[in-house]
Amino acid sequence: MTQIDYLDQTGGALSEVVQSEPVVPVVRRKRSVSVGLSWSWLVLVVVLAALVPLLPVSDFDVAAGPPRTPPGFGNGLDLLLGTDNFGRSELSRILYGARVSLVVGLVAGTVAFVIGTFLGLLAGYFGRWVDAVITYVTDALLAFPPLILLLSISAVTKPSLFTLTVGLTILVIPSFVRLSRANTISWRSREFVRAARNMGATSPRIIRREILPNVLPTVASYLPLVIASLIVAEGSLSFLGLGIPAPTPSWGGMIAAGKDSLDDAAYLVLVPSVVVFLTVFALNQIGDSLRARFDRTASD
Amino acid sequence: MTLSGTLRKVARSVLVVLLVTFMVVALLSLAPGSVATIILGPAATPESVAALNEELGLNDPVFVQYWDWLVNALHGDLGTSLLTDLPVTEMIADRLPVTLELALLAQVIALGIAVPLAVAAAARPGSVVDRFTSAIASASLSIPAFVAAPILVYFLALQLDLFPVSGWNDLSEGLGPNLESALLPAFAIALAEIAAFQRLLRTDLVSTLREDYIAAARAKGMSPSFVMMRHAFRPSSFSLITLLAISTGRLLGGTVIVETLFSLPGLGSLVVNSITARDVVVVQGVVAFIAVVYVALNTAVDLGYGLLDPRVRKEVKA
Amino acid sequence: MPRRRNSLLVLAVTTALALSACGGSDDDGGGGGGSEGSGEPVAGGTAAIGMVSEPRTLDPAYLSNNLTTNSLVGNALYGQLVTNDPITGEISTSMAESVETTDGGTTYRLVLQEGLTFSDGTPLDAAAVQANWDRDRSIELRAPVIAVAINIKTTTVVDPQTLEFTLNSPTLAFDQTIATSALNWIGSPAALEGGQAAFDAAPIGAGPFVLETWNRGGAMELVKNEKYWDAPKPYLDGLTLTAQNDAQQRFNTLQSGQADAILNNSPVITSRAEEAGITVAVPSEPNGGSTVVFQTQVAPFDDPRAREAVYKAIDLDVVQSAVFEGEGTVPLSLFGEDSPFYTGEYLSGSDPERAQELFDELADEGTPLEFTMVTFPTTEALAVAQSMQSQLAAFDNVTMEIDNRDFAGAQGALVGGQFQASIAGLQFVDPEPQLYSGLYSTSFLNFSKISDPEIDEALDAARVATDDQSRIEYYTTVEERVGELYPFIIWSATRENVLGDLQGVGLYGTGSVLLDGAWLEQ
Repeated sequence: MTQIDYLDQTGGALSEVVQSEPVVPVVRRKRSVSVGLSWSWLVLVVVLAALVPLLPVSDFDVAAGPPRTPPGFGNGLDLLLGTDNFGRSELSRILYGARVSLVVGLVAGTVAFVIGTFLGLLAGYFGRWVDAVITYVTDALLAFPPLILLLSISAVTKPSLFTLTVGLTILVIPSFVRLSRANTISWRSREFVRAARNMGATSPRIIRREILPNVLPTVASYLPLVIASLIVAEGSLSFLGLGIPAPTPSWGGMIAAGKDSLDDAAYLVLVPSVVVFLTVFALNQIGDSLRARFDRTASD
Repeated sequence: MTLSGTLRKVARSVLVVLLVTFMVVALLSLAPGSVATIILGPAATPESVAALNEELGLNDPVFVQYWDWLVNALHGDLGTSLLTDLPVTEMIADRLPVTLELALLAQVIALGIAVPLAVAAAARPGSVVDRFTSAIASASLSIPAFVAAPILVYFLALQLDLFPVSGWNDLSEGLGPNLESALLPAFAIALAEIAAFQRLLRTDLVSTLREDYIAAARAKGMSPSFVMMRHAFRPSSFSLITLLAISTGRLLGGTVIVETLFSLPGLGSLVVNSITARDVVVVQGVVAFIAVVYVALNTAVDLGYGLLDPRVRKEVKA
Repeated sequence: MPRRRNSLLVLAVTTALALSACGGSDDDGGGGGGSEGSGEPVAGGTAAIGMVSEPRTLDPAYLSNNLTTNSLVGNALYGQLVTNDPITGEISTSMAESVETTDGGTTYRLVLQEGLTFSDGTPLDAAAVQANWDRDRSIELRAPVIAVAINIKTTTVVDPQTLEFTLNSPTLAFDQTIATSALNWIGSPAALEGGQAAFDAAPIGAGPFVLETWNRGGAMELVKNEKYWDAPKPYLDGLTLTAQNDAQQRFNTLQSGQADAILNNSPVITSRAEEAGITVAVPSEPNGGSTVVFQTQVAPFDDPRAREAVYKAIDLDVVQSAVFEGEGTVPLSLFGEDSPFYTGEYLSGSDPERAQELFDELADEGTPLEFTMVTFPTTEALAVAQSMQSQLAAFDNVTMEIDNRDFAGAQGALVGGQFQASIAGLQFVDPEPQLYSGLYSTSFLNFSKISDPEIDEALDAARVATDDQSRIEYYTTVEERVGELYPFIIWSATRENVLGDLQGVGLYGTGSVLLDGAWLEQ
């Protein structure tokens, strides 16, 4: 959750002010090791998640061994990370859970990115009532505590991959609107935009040809951070028992299911926790490095 | 900042709050199940549920329900809980101190960790120390509360018995027991706050340290640590206070997971229980309250920024 | 917390207990009121107790008389008219001196002890009982207790000690209904008239304890009622009650020394407590258990073959292993082996071949079995559903989906009959009244909506049967029909208890916890 809010802050009130300050030269992270490792981890997760049906692991919803088998080598791939309370392979569930987390994060993040950028462009370019309407709704969504909004949405709809993705999309649209709007405003009054307008270019053309190409990289550089925060949000909801319905695994749900067994089967919590941590950390590192490269307003 | 600009901002905030509260009623009116099934228990019949819904006014159109609520709310009456029959204002007053203390304590902890990290990083931007401290900050951001809480409870509360595993000791029971019960949950919340503070402060410090007067101070032979604390930290701390204000407003609604996991009687657990029991009146009251605080703090920061910081007084956008 | 935690002391005590448990010969084999250690009760001290759920209101009409709900609070604040033996069902009187029928189950006389007073000094007399019961059965109040109170037709005060009441449907064991429901709790009628908020702030009863403060979501503080009728009880000076729905979290508070005792409904936690050398008191093992109920009036489970197929496809031992790490018990009959009504095993086990045959048969007719199961948001409910789902995945021609609702959503579906399969429960000591209301065609609490003339007839006959033998025979008929009709799957026997160092805890009914005789070793 917090990352979304952090974005709101940098994309909102603060960055509007910070923008006018002298831009601090970016710390040159020449071929940062941590970013390299982060990319490797993400690629590994994505590739394994994509290929898991081809891997010699059992399905996520059938028992692969005795319940609560501890992790260990020598028992085959299925039992590498142990089994859960139902005897299902932890490895299989982590990988299929990666699909859920990544799909939810990517789809919700991307859809919100597209919608949010578009609305932000409209608000920033046209100003007046268009800006007012869009900003009001955005501010209202931001003032609604995020997890409470998600809980309300999941009270209304039967939880499923689809409704969860829709809820999370709604949750992060405002962040993109704010980013895109702030950037549009700063580009709108530039010389080349005025020149295009003087030469008789229509608004749609100016938005498409002059502003969008400049706004897009900045806003897009926030995407990994948003995806990271979405993975956390999905996990939080699963943790409260209102996430993706069983038997489909999700990382948050796995941690929640295992938390009562910390005493005798700590790996049920530790394995998914480590995976969540590494993935979110990797996304954050990559997001930071992208922001440093593409976001003119990013100040570190 | 002109008067009309100020008024416009305030008007905008009011509208935002209205929108938020209307969204709550509209959303929950669509949810299946009703508070009547919770009140009536397992012996409820479809007829008795319908009768009670009617009695509680839950069958009225959404707009009517919202209008009634709004008129009362403007008179300072947030209604009475459908479940407990208690005034919502009283329930919020009971729960607020817990959440507020958690939020503030979490920020203090986050600052305690973030400030040294930021100062160390800003002293030599781009150095190994800078990268390392920034990495620590972003690692802490990557530990969601639902990961941190069970693990913290297991090791610090259960194994080492340093803290209570759950529950809340009111301040009236003494500061010691109170802090004992608040520290662990506050720490779980603080983890995610560290990064924001560290980044903001580091950036601010780095840019301040480039100013001419810092060079002048250095030239006068002042020690680097004196320059850092006396000349750089003070002006930089301003935006930190701003961030603190905004985070506090946001954390009022952001402690849900931690309050649930530690069974703390705060606003977050109140709102979760009220949503799952469809106590619409309470959900609405709490969300309205949080939204008002959040919007008010943001607006105040927005307005105050232009007034207080000489560096940005010259240009403030609407 | 009134009792300060002391890490070293806790460590020393648990080590000692663990060592004695390893020694292994002083295991007294269960039963009884957890009274190991010295026998003489010691007065004083405040006990911190972890409950499963927090009451919504303290109005006695809305409290339910179960361990996981709020029996402890009800008994503490209001005392109880009668109690029953949690296994045989034998009635003992408490605040009531006697409850007897004068005409074979239609007219009853309830005689109160003399000199009972509420904690505010006003008398608890027959008029007070009348006022409470009239409230309980009122359609306008619609309190949960109405499910049983609706059987009360008239109430008449004969003298200050005696209430005469009549029933709509003659019932010989109505004293069981009183013992196991909220009818057992009498609040001050004057206080109840003040409305919910006022009553919750200062509930007036005649129980062993009086409410001091209630910080919702936090702790409820009760102090000793100096006017309690059964002096020198209560021994404790006070109670600090907190609620946690998660069994493991609750156990954590006990282990860390924050709580002196916890109410527990999880066999896994029971076995962990035994391993840790923690006292297991008042094991409550009622008949029936936790169920997965089929809605028998709508497709697909209006077809008995569909119910039988799912029933026989599920290996309940596997469910047990998933939910309770195999520590629970799968019942093979409606009645526990110790119950006087137990006559043998009527619930068949799993039969995968027969199940697949039925699934195929249904698919051949053009409607392969597809159903959705509604779950409550508890760890256990989710685990049951998942275990069933993963077992059914091994069969052809059947698909099960899980509809994971929050409390209001799940409860709404269950009581409204808007589900195909759902998590539910059916617990009872004497079959009257819970088995009756759980299976009778027109009852509110018959969640499966099973409507079987044979069952109805047997239940009605058993209500007025005068001798025990014929009651047993009628209930055997009910058992046989349940075994043939599959209205629900009883996946686990209910195993509840109180864990911790609290001595002298009492138990009646289906997990109704008594604390008037409880005491702490100083």
